This record gives sequence, C-alpha cells and structure tokens, in this order.
Amino acid sequence: MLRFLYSTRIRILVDTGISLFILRTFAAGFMFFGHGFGKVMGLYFGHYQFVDPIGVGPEASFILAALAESVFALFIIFGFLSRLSALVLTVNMAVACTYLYFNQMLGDMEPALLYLLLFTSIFMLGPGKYSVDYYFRKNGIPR
Amino acid sequence: MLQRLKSSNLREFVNTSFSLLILRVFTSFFMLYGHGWGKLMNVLTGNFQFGDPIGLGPEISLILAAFAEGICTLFIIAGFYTRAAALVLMINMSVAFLFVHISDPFGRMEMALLYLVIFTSIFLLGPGKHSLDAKLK
Repeated sequence: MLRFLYSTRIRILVDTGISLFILRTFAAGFMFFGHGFGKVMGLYFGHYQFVDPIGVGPEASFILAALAESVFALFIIFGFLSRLSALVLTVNMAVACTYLYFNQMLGDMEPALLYLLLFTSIFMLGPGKYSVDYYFRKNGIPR
Repeated sequence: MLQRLKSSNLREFVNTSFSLLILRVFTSFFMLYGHGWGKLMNVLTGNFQFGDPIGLGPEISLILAAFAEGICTLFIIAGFYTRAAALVLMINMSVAFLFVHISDPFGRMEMALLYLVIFTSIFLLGPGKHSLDAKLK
C-alpha cells in the first residue's frame, strides 16, 4: 500500500501535467509577486536605481530584469512559450547569482540559486499538459 | 529551434530522469549545506536553542528539524525512499512557512515557500531512474 513511497514511476500519485502545473505556477507566481511586480512599478514611476552586473548600464539592466521577471514570469504561469521564457529567466537568475556571488552576500544568494534551479527544471521538463502551449498544439492553432 | 522551445513534450531536450536528478540533488544539497548541517551539529553538541513553533518544546522541534533537514536530505540526494523523505521535508517547510514566517514580509517568507514548492514537486514527480530506489527495485 505504501509502495508509492519508494516507487520511481513518475505518474504514480498524480498526472505529470498537474505536477508540472504546480511547479510552474508557484515558481513563476512567487517570482512575479516578489520581484517582477515591484520592478515593473519602479519602471513605471521612473525609479531607475539598480545595479550594473553585466556592463550595459543600470537603466538597461533594470529594464531587462523587469521584462524577464514580469512578462516572462507571466508567460510561464500561463504556459505560453514556457521553455523560451524559462530560458530567459534562467539567464536572468544566473546573472543575479554571479553578481551576488562576487559581492560575497551568500545569505542573499540562496533564493537566487533556488530560482535558478526551479527555472532550469521548468526549461528541462516543459510546461506539461495544462498549458497554452499544449492547447495550441492540440488544436492546431499556429503561433 | 523555436518549434522545440514551444514544445510541451516532457523529453524534448533532456531525459526526464536526468532533470529529476538535477532538481533533487541540487535542492537537497542547498538544504543540507545551508540549514541541515548546522542543525545536526547543534544537536550533536547539545546546543538546543531553537524556536517552538508547534508547542512541542524547543528540543523536540530542533531534533525533528535536524532529522528532516539533515537526514532526509541525504536520503533524497541518494534517492532512497525519495517520496517519503520529500513528504517529511514538505511537512517541515509547511511548519516553517505557516508557524514561523506567516507574519513576515514576502522577502523572508520566500525561501521557505520555494523549498516547499520544490519538495512538493519532488514528492509528486518521484526520483527518476538515476536513484537508489530504481537500483534496489
């Protein structure tokens, strides 16, 4: 009865689509709620106070980070172009990790590392069945 | 290339077992390195200063947290009884979220929530083929 505790089958508890939906929605939702929304509001009100990790200037860095963490996080929530959006967010979080690492703030680095890991997993595993990508492909809607 | 990025197939780029291995090993290592190891050392050296979130007393709370974050993460890394260990860690992180960080701002709650999401995913998806569970079957 408790065989599922050591089973390696991927669908033994719930369907894979539901697992991936939970992973995707919560990770991108926390990203949007905790980081992306504040950055978009900062962009809207013109607060361009930001760091310059890759040498393109603080304004461009801020715009890129706001774009990745709001628009692409929303894409991941709905499952629209999930793998592309997860790739963008992986690059974003990799830059954040590198920058934080070089500034020796290891306590701040852990959420960045976890986000990096989450978006890498979303990139590798894909959006699953309950996503706009799957709906479009199933119904033959060209994108 | 863009067609592949739009795909919703599970095995489009890498094998599913390999993705699950990466998710499992890295998360558990961060958990062990950042939280579990210090708690295990505190238990072993007898330094029982800890919060008391669910009314069991600080000693039992610390021992339970050290068991979850120090022993069960090792189980998840090895892939031995992965779903059971992930369930223990889910309960641990739920307590951390619901009883310790519930009135904090989102920035301090975030890490417990992220760990909760990741361990829920490990619980639901399982360990994959590259694990002790698969070897011992």
